[in-house]
Amino acid sequence: MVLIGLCALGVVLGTVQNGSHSQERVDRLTSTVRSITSPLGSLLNGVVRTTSAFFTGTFSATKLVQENRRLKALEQVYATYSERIEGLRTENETLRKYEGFGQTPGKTRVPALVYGFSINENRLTINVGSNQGVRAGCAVESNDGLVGTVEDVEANRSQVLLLTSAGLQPNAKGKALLIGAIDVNRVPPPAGLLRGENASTLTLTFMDPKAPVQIGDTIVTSGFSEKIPKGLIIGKVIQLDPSEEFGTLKARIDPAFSLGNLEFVIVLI
Amino acid sequence: MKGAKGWIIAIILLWVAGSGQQSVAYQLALIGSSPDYILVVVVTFALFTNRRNGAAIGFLGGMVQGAISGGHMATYTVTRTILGFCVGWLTGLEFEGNMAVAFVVTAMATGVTQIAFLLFNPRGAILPFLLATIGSAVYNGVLAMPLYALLKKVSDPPNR
Repeated sequence: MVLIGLCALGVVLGTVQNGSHSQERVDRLTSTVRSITSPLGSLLNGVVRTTSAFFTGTFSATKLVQENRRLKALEQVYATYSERIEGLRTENETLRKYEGFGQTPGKTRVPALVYGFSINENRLTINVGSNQGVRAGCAVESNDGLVGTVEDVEANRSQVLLLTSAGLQPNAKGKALLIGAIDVNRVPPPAGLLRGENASTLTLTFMDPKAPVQIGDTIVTSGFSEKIPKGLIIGKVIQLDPSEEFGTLKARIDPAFSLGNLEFVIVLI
Repeated sequence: MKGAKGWIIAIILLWVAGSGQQSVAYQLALIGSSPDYILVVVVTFALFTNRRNGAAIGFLGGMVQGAISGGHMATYTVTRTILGFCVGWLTGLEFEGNMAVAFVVTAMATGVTQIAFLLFNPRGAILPFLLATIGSAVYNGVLAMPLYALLKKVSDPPNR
């Protein structure tokens, strides 16, 4: 009886959780549990990262000094271009406004610290939320490229669904993460629909089996979305599988982001 | 393990396990296999209790895991509740618990729950998932051994 009762209660809690999520909210129980575990989680995360950084610093000091010099030089180069880029952005926004296209998504960049990762669910937990302007569906990128999109938003915490999450099955909340993507190495760039295949590979489906895509091409976001801007790097094509029968071309993509290196990300709002 | 003392220990362990699961489990992965601290706590604690308390600790563990992972709460609570119940039932049978038993039971429990998870959430690449499951089973089994020893020190005799 106890077993049946607890299982039934679990199903009720799951239904409440899904109901809250369909309204883009986080249920009270989930929020409470996360609030209780987050402080110790952040502490443990800090301890592990600090320990790792200590040993890396101890054994790779020379390499790190050289890398630091190289990065400082790159920063100076970037500074000379940043003013020009900002001017072009402003001009672009003005033209979009005149043409009635609305504001470009991802104009504001909110830096966030990654302090949690759910392996089975392919989700990251980051330390920014609605108080910082984060909304569900916003793109999240790292230095390497697009990481995923925001799924759950709380006041000062969010969960990010990784690009690699979808697989065969829609994600836990009944939605597959599908993103429009284009091949920037071709003119005009062929566009397709991207979804996760497994933890390390993505699949990009073009509705043309003769789309001019080649192995090694770079894939970026298409911008056919209200929340994901165009041009975020997704990865490179590693395999092509044309299907004349279904009229499609499936490209396997090696994602640009590396989960092992993810410590900081940027939320584009 | 029984009484208020047992439940306090269980809740503290689940709190620490939940916090660690969220923040450090992925950083301590070995050869692609990550530990599941919550499952280790549920199974090891259930080895010291009866099937009813085993189901209850399983339910709490599933609730914590479902909340922090953002996945299906029902999937986690149901699988962990059944797991805790089964391990608690096993404890009621006539056998002498020790660290080796903790290793074997935790490793088997990891395999069973991961396969149940696969059934609830089918995916394309099954082989890597199964290999990671075997690795996690061994990892969890190893973690269960010192936890078993610790609980043995602070526990009452199992309620048979």
